[in-house]
Amino acid sequence: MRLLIVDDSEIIRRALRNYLSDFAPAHVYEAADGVAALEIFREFRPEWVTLDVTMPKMDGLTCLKEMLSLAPETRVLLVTALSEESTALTALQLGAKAVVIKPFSPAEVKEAFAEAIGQS
Amino acid sequence: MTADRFGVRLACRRFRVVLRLLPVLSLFFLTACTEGGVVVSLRGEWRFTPGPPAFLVGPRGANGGSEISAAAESPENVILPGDLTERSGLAGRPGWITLRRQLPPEIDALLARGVPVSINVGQASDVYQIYLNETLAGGRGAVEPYEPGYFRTYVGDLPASAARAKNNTITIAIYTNGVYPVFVYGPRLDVGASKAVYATYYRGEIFVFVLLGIYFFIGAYHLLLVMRRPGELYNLYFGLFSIALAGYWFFSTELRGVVFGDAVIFGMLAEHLLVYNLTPLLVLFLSQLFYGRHSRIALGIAAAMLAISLVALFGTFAVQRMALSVWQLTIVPLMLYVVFYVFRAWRQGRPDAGLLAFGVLFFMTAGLHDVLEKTQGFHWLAQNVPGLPEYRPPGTVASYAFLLVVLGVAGILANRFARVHTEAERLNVELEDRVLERTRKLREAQRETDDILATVQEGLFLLYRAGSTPGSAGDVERITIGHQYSRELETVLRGQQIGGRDFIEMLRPMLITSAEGGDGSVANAPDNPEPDEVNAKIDSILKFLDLMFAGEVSAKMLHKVNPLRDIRLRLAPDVHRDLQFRFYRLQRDGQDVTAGVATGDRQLMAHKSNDRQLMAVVVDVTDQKELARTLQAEREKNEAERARLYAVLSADPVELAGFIRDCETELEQARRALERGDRDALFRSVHAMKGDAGMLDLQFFADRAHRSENLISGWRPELSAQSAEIDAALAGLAADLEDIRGDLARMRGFRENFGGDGGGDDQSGLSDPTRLADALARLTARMSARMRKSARLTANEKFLSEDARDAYARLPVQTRGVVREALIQLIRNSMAHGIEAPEERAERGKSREGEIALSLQAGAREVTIVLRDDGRGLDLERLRATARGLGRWTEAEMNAWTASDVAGLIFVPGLSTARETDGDAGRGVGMDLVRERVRGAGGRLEVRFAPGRYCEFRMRFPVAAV
Repeated sequence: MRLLIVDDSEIIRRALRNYLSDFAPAHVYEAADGVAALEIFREFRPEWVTLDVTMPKMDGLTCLKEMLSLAPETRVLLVTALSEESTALTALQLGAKAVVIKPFSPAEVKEAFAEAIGQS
Repeated sequence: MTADRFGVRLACRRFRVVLRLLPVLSLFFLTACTEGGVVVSLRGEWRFTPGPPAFLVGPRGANGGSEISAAAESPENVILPGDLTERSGLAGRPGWITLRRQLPPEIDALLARGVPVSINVGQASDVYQIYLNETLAGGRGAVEPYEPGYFRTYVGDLPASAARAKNNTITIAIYTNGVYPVFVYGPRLDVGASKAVYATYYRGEIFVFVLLGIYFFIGAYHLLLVMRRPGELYNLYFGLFSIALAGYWFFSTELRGVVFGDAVIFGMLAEHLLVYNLTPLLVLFLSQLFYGRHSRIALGIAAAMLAISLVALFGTFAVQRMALSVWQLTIVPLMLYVVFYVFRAWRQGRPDAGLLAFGVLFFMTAGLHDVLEKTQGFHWLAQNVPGLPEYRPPGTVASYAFLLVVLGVAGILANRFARVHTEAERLNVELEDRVLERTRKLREAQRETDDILATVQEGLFLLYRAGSTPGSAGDVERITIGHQYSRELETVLRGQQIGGRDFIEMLRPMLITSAEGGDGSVANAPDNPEPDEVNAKIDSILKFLDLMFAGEVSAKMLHKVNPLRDIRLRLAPDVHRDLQFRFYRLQRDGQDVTAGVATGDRQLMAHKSNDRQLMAVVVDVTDQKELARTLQAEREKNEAERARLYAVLSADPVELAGFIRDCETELEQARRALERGDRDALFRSVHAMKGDAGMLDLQFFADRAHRSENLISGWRPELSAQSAEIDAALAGLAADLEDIRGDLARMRGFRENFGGDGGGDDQSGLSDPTRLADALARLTARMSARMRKSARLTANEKFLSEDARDAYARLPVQTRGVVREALIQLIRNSMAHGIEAPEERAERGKSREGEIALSLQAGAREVTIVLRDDGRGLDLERLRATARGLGRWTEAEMNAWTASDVAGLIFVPGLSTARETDGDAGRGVGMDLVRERVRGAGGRLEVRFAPGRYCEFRMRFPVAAV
């Protein structure tokens, strides 16, 4: 399985890549904004995606809609701040599989990701 | 007072260390007093003859020197040990002198019995030889080729074969090259049984080395203490004094010859320089100890001794001898002055002066003892005072007494250090106790509430989704509360007949906006429900319940984004409660659940039999929350209090006093600005306070000022509620200031008890550029750490010189305040805008560490202070872009700007190129403030820069001609 990590913060990307190595993705792609994320998504069709909500160029929800319209079976974990409760709920309605709330601990991320990919 | 009790206890602990040293000391007394056999001192009268010993200048000729001839003059007596330079008559030319005396009868007896007999001549000058009768026993140095034996001790056996039955004579023949002084220096001049003579000699050496070691240790310890507490200079002088004492004792050891070898003059010079500086160090120490300052006389003495030292250092040998004589003349008056000084301080009630006066008396008694011992005074007293038994002194005792005095002083200093330390510790413990007490009380209250809560039932109810026409667009499905619910629900929700109601419609009037804060103070809330926020909340709740009913996403996952997880609701006009809702999914087929459900509910469920139901649990946690909030507030308050006390304790009191004064002025100005609605002026005042607090490391105060700034930057003077808030923030700053003043007074109270920094209203924080540079360097270091950059502040020599102090002193006090404030702001700007991150610097081929250079140019009419950083200079493009963003100028106007016009933008209010407002820069108010203040003080502020290389600010202030 291939994993795409979308977040505008390099630190968060690195943390996620690190934490999610437990799930042994075959390849990990990274994108710092929604537009770049979609480019990668179109080209490589990763099965797993972690998606930040607030990003430059294109926000996470728009990106999520695009991705799921291209490949509805994609397993998406939404990464969001506590104040974005409503966005998180919308994302879940749109078809994101799980949500993890920033700031998060490694255990929380792993648990939510397991939930997202149906391994919990 | 408890403080005293603490002090005494700690002082006892320190003195216990000194007590432990006592056995070691008594060992010295023992070794010094007990002799292992017959030893007779040869101190006293010797017969003096110029020229070599007669028995060498017989018919067989001289022993090497061509001009040597036996003296014809009749012999005279001299006292040994002593200086014989004058008596030798050999000033300026080489030659011999001879010293003779008969051995005491008890030594004759020893020789007759065949017991080995040795002599210890101590340190004597130049080449010297010892003869028993006419046979050479040994000596030091050589005449041909010439090799000085200066300051080398001779301890050796007397040849038994040369002994006569009685009337043995001992002869010391001294050769001088005509340059060095001639003397037998001592301290010992003994003859006796070999065993005892050697034992005495080695014991003496060991004693001196131990003494030297103790002095060195005390000195090193106090020098280390200075590093820890640089404000207490008495530690420095005492440390240096002790080290000098150690050096002094070093010169009386045999090791001296080993270290200096044939460099006799150099060795002597080193010894003299050391000795010259003992008294000034002592006087400086005393003035710092008693008065916390350098007394003028102490500085005068130090200058005089320094002059003598310099003359000796660069003069010829003859000049050096003269310097020594001058110094010898000063000893007695200086010692009298020290005694006077100590006793005067005692009479004035200075701390510790009584103990020191006692020490001086003690030492003087020991000195008198030694004088009596040397002059046979005890013998004379016993003969002339009837009935007085004769006292036989064990030897000289002054060196022991002096050691005890020095140890005592070390004890006093340790005690003083401990008291200051203890006071800080005590304040902290006191605070800790208060925190603990408060926390305990609150915990107790919390436990009580927990007990109450445990007995309260939860509100339980069921939720059904009953769609009117599923799938039709725009239609919201009703979510209905089941008819069966726990009794508690009515209590929790303050309502009746809850069953069958629309859950959302029931919640809608209960929702409150964040602006209301739920304290019930906004009475008109129902008329003005802020529909956006409430609707958004309803929207979230609907989405959440939808997901709960749908079952795609796990309940555990959804629990995290439950909008009703923790919510404050208005249950009645004046009843606000904190509630927690939890939702659980029930079985999909509904069989298990419907079994126990009332008939009405079954009908409800019939609409969508395959849809699931939710069980909801609601708990009122208001009291818990309230308590948690109070606890948190208390904790924060205690934390703040403690942080404040630490910050104040570690700050310099003088700077702190200046800070309080400055802040009071700024606060006053801020209040006036608030009244007349001048946001910029208000902001500038608060910003200035923040800068000052940052420099003094008063982080809590800087934080509060920063929060006030945030308030002010969003301030619209027409909104009275906002103005009241800002007024409260200013009152908060004033209260903090009052607290700091209180702390300062407490601190000053106990510092004065220990005679620390005398005056509190000295302006030295502002008058001393070195201290300013120091403080700015610390500020730079702190900001480097905070901003993850690397930079240091350097001040040029001129800035640290005496000239700078003078030039600086010529500026009015207010101007100096402006300079300090401006420098703080400019450094903040340099750190925020100028200095690049280390990686970026490395890429640009610069050193990773940035440099901010502070320099000063003093002219007759003008003083210029320059601050230059080697950062990226000004970014003209970015400035232009920011200016465009302000929309204050037309495109045409901006196109006409020159580079220097663009650079001038940094002085425009409200223009900032830093991206985030982080408290150090980025408000665009700093440069504006700096220029305005500099102008207000009659100065000019100029900026120069080279893109990518440096940025330089010059402040010029006119001064009155000297």
